[in-house]
Amino acid sequence: MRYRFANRAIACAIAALVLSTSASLASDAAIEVSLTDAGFEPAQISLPADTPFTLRFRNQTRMPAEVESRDMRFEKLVAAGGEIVVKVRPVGAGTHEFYNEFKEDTVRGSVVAQ
Amino acid sequence: MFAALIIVLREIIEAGLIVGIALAASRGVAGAFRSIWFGVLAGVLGSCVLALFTEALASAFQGVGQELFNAAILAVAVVMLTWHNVWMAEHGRQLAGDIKRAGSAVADGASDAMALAVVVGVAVLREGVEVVLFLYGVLVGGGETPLSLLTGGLIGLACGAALSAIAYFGLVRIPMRHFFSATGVLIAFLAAGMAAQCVSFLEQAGLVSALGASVWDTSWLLSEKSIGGRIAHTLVGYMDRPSELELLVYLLTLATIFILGRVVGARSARQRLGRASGG
Repeated sequence: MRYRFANRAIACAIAALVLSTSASLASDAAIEVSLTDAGFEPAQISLPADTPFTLRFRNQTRMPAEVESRDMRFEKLVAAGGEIVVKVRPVGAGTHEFYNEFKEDTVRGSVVAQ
Repeated sequence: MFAALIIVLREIIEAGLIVGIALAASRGVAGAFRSIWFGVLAGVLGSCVLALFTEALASAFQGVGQELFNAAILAVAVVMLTWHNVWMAEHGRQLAGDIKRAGSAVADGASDAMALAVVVGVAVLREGVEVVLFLYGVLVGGGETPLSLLTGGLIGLACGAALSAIAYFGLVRIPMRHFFSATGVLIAFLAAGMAAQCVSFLEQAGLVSALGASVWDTSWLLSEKSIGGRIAHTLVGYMDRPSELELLVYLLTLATIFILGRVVGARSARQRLGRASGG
């Protein structure tokens, strides 16, 4: 009996999560960033500061990558030929770097918030 | 080669330490070693399978499948670690006594062994996927130096395994009187750090936004992504830029585990006392 209640509670929680996710995703448009063999394209993105935004990374290389940013607090795997969406919470004015963790030294890009 | 070594090592530091801690913490529990190694193996196999489905996972749940998956398995690990500490609060004292007397003890702790196996399995799984994808990328990428990168990656893996050994052999040197309290404290911090990280994945997924302001920023001092930062993160749950909610969940988890341990420990001590005076 207790288990059934727990199951139902978990199911409700998951349903609520999925619903709230679809609602929040529908509202904002994503900024497109391609990952090519030459690096991120565009490598620099200008944005207003203190506003949430969404980045959509398309990996056009033949290698998997992990897109990561310390400043903007995301870390996400993207398969070869795949794409991911990253929602970024408001960041302050300044330059915020992101990079492919698997090639951290060479494959980098930045968000310039003004 | 060195870059590949660092990348792989950084990814598996946490899993490496957790394996060592779990092996030590389950000392004297029947079948625990076998269960934990089984957990490692399952984690490695799971990583390979999951790596195949990176794209599917990334696009699941409206694009936040990866975050939800990570948050879910971290939550499972936190529950299992809590379970372990509660179990130890009940059996630790007896186990320590038995080990001291007989040199080794075999307590029937199938549930505890299973809990730790799950913890180890998900730790390996979570970070293993990244290592598998990185090494796979090196192999198919056709870069200039795949062999040297691969060597670096494998040395990184070996370093991770060495870290497990260091953690294990370091811990088992602790005198038996303090042993299970020491591993208990370590496990509590480990669980608290994982709970906070679970929150951070939910925040990244955009599912949680309350109390999102950073409490402090010590990334200039010790970056959470550096090797030292990763070790500190695993051992005490160090975060270089925690949100208010992460810090709150961290403290709540610590408090919950300690209080549960105290309550269960006191109860089992009373029972032992009751038995001793009654019989």
